Amino acid sequence: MTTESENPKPVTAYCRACGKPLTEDTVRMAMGTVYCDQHLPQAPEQPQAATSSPYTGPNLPNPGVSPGLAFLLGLIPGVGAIYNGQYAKGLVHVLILGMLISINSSDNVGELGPLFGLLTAVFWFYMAFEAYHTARKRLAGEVVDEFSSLVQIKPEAGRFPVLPVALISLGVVFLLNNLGVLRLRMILQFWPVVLILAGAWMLYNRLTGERAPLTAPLAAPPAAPVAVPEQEVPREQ
Amino acid sequence: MNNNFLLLRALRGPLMLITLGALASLHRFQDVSLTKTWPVLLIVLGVMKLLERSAAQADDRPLSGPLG
Repeated sequence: MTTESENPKPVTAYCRACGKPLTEDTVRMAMGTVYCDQHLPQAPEQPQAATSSPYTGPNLPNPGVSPGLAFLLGLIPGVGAIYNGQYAKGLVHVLILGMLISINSSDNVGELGPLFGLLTAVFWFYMAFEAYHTARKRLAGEVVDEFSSLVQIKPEAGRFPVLPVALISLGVVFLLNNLGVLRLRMILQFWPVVLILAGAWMLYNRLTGERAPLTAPLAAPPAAPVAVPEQEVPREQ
Repeated sequence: MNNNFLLLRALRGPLMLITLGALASLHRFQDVSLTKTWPVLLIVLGVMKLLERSAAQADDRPLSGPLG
């Protein structure tokens, strides 16, 4: 608050790394997080650091980070993310897991008990693997932001807002189910409609010349050293 | 420049927390179970994302957030 009298422009954000107050002109956005000029991460320079002599071993910028320890700590809800310095993500993990367990132990889970039981188990392992992969990224010197790989959908301006619409419709469906207005069982019997809609969506993308989002992971080159955690979880099930 | 976007972005966490607090209060003091009302959190998050998108497009800045 004291900086407002010194700076002619009002402070709009603070650097994630050093906490320096930033005005509109000095805000630097990277990976969805606010940084100042000094702490702006430079992602493209990382591959150069990886090439080193075969006799000296890998030149790791962060040798203190242990992915194995991250995996073990990741089995404790939220602690794996905390080990990686992602406190908000740890909180989100604990909230999601706690919500799943609460749903499991409630009386009105009904016939969806197996679904939520499996979701709980999968999410538990997801936290561990996610912490492992984030620790490997940190070991390689990549900058991870607070919410890295919580959701992998890359947003593009002008594209259909898939994630917000999915969140809202999921919320409405679950809310109607919980209030007894429209049972999930009645909706779930129409599951083939999802396949038809997905096919229609892909057709629309191909015909309008846009890159279909479903083919993007397959077309990506295998150069990325760290796999996407979301793809790891189903194998563990 | 992108004041609206940054403001909405900063508001998201507190608003989610307030929503969770309100739902927990309903659970505690009224007879509205949190196991029934939790989808409200999803709806609030989705609405915030939609607002952020529209703000970002109005400001003509590229979306780079991990939560889209």
